[in-house]
Amino acid sequence: MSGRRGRRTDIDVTRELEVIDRALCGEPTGAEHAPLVELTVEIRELRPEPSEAFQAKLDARLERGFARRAPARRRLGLQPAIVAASIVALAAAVALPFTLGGGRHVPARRGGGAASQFSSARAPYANGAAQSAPSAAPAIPAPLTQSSSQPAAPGGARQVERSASLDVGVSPASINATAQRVFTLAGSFHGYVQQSTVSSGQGEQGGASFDLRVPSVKLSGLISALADLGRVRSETNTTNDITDELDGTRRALTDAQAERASLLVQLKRAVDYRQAQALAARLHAAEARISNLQASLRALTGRVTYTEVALSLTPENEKKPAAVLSPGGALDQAGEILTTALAVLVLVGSAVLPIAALVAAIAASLAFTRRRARERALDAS
Amino acid sequence: MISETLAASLTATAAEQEPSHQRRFEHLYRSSRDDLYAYLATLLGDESTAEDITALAFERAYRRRRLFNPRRGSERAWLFGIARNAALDELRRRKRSPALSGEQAHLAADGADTAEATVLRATVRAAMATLAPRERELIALKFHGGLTNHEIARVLGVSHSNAGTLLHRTITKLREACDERA
Repeated sequence: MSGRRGRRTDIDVTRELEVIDRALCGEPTGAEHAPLVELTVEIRELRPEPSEAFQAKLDARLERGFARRAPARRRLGLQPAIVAASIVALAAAVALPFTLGGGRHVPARRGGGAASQFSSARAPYANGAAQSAPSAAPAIPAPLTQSSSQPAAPGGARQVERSASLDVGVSPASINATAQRVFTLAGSFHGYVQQSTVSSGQGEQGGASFDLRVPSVKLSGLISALADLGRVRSETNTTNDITDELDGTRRALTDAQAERASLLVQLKRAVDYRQAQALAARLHAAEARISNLQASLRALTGRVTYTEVALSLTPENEKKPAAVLSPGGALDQAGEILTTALAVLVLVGSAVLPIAALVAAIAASLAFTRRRARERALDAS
Repeated sequence: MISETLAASLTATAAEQEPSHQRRFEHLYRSSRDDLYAYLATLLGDESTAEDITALAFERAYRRRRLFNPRRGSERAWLFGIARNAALDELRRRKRSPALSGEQAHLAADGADTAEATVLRATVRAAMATLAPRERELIALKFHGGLTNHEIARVLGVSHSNAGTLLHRTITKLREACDERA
């Protein structure tokens, strides 16, 4: 029953709306709808009409292509600017950690220690012998390890013992030739080969290893030259501050020399045979100690002046030249390219998608808020 | 060679489309200018502001004429939507209460009508003043803007059936208000 009534009501509503449309178009309607038609006409008669001056003014603007007007109503233009500024600030806030951190964790450098070690898969050897090892750290981008046992002394008079190791990949066929070049290079940098082992074999079974000693001031040049022999697989640089050890040895030597001088004086003044023999024995002991200390001092100075370099030549097969293109190779390369492209897309997407989602949410929120404000303005009018 | 041909074709297509856009906009302007003004004057209750907003709406529509999508409604509904947003922004700014516009002009014009017609018109005007702003807007869109129910639905963001229901309810309310005053 109620459904039928509802349907009848809907039909009435539709019919009356049609009557209104016909009345507005000036079409005839039934006499039973006369009051509605009369009301429609009366409402229509209340319609405001624009003045002729306004019509002419607007027509002229149409001819000119509706050029933008004076900034009296341009205040709305600020909102897109504010939104754009917010987006830029947001993007900067999101991108800043990536920019500063580079997306990679680098362990913080500890204070300059007496001993330190740097390793890298491929790194230019940039620092000279006179530099302290930690100063070379920024030039080595690869994995960084560092240890320290005692704080560095202030000033530049520290005596640092250095050592380096280098693993260079060369083609198996050129092991012997490269080994010969190592000898030549060591000589050209005023160093020498302390020990060497060269083994030959099929494929990657051969190899060579060298213990080089080179003046510390020539170390960087030698490392660069050795790195040019092939592909640097790894590189390690170790430093050890032996300033205290050197100073201690020097002081002990000075004391021993003073003791010997004193014993000599006493020996000259000795009148008793026994006393003279005792002094002579002490003098021999002092001289032996002086010799030992001098040897130690020379050895320590040598450790500072010369640097040990452990070089390994590892046989390494070269990659096939890209010029040889086969269907299988092309498929492999296409797969690699697609994989790389996909990885780039994932990286870009991971950065862009959250920002885009946030921007879309902000834009939707702003649009919703603006619409609500407009509707409220209409209700309040 | 192919890309040059394609580029030339696209350029030519774009050049051909611009006069088409222009012609369509001019036709929209000619057919909607007075209707749009009447709607805005009724909504805002201020002839001067209605003129400003009418010009602003056409200016915005002209700038965005290439963005118009026929699948989302008629050009008139699109234009009235732009005008409605501008008018509501104006209401927000000014916080002014709209009233039926041109009251003085209508009263002056009433002098030429018969006494019965004058009374009837005054009754309708008074009845309209009792309507809520949203109801007056519906009347303005339908009777002064000349929009179809589909176009009204598009402008207000409601369904077609809902627009018809709202309109009929408003007309019924207006008839009852007129009957009370008669």
